[in-house]
Amino acid sequence: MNLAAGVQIVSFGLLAAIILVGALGVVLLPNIVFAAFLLGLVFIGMAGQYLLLNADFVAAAQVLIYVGAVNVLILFAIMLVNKKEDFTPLPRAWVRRGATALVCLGLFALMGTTIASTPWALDPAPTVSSSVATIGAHFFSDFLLPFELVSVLLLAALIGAVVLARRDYLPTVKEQETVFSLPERPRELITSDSK
Amino acid sequence: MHLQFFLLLAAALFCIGVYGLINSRSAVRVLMCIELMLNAVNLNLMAFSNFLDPQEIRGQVFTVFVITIAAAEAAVGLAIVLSIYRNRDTVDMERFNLLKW
Amino acid sequence: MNPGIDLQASVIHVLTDLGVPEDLAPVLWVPLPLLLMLAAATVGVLVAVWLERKVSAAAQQRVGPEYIGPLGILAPVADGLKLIFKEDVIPAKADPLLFTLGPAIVVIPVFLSYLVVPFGQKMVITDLGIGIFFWIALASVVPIGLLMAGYASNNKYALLGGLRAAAQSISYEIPLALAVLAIVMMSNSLSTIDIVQQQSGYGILGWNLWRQPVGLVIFWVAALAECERLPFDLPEAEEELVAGYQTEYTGMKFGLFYLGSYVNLILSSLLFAVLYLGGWESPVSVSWLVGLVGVPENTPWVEVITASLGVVMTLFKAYLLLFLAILLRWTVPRVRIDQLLDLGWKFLLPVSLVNLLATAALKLAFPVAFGG
Repeated sequence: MNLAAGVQIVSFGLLAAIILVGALGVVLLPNIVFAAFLLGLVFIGMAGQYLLLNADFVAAAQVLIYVGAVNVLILFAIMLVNKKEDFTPLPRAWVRRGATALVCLGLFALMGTTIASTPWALDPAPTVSSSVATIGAHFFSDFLLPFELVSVLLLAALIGAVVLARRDYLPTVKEQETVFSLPERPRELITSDSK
Repeated sequence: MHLQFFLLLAAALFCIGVYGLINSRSAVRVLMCIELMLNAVNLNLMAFSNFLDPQEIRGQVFTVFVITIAAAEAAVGLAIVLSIYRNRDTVDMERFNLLKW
Repeated sequence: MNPGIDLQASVIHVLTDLGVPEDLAPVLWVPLPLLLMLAAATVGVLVAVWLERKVSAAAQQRVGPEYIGPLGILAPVADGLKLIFKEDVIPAKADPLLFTLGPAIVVIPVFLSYLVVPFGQKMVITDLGIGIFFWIALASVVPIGLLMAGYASNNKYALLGGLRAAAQSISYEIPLALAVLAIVMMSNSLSTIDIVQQQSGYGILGWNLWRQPVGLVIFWVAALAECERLPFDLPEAEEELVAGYQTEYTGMKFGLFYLGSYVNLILSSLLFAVLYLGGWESPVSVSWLVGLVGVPENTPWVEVITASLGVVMTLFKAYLLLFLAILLRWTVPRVRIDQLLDLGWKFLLPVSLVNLLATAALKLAFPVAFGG
């Protein structure tokens, strides 16, 4: 991709704006369905950033998995749990909000100064032409063990999700067992009052 | 284009994710915030891959792993949310205060 | 291998001859194929709608549209005009923003996917390295739009239709991707151009049709399900869900859904032709014929004929598949939702996995025939 530098900067700015506004919307919007759709927008924006970083394969994978699977899954969950629930207001919620906001801003400031002050060892070499082939070669050579482990993990997650989410259609209410008993007044034992 | 731009964007996204993670009342929104944070990490990895390691692009390999784990995490997380909802009839994080039910 | 006609280079050459500055000419070229493709896709939809009407009429022993133009050929145009002039109703309790965005999100990825459909060696808008994967990724965006439309309509049928559509789309994407993966494994490339290249040389005998008979069936079934065509049109099943997620839509918003479904069907047919039927290759190898006549292959008029033959062949194959889809629609009954999911998860998914494994094994055993 040989876009001119100006075009790159402008597209970075636009995508960054989309991502940040979308992310703020995800966190702050009261309507959770809007939040979920904005999350999809954030994912698309991230795919755009990956394209700017010369990674077409990962960008497509991002769209396929995040937008196509994760976001759809989240939307499904929202629409299955479609109870309009008014959360009871917490007594001192603003303290927590304020403290979290402070911590987050502090964290951002810390990371920002670190990023700005670190001398990055930039590598001026050109990027590989075919990222797919390089990623594939990594998967089957030096990253073989993690690759296989991830496949096992996916299988475990698949089975786990099915087990957790499946509804048991077995009748949960057992039939009342009729207990037969004699209409008899309980009598005290003789031994108890012998003393 | 500079590496720093991408890193700053990722840092901002991560901080927004942390804020949402702590302050969200709905369990589904908490999961969405986790996805935001994972995306921020991915952006970091991709930026490093492009600017510091353009020949071997190991960062992209890691990103693919993170994406895979994120998908598994979303599936299991949402299954847990659904089963909690079925048992407690709510998705309010403040009311999940029993370890066992 | 002769690269064939290079439209981009020649158009840029003509532009610079006309006095356009050298830097500006490639910029002027960029929108041309996009506009051409947009127009071609829309015209393709009109043809598909006309075919649908005529074939359905024939299947039911009717005549079909007759008076609107010769053979009723203008009937789809009339349909489109009617949709444009209809009132655009947004239901009172609907969410106006999401309601408007929904159809757009369904249609845009489908049109974008045309970027990777090749009609010739150089006749493709972009030869992306990730080619066919781009299409699979974009196809997975569509269910978001369907869910959005279903949710925003504020209608139970629409919501159920949207959920069904998303579930169906996700379920059938996996066998589709696995079937494509088998082809990719044989071609050693994700690029659509390379996939056709790998099938060229032996005429009809070289096509993936013979190497991937199982994958072909899986792809076709999954593609029909992705396009929500009968027998898999559960999301719009009239008898159960009124019209699914389209229930509340009128006018051009409904038109977008309608257009999107046909554009998607044509796209699937085109990609089927590219993946399994040798794309722009003729059943008899053109270079062999040219060699028989004894004309050098890079003569201008031969190149023009080869290029147009390629476009015609691609479209012919695609419309043949479209005809098959329409015949299927009017002859096969609809499946139930549980049958649909069973077919996807319990039959197509294992079969496509086995197909992938078998392809890998055959590739190792016979690298000559299976693209070593």
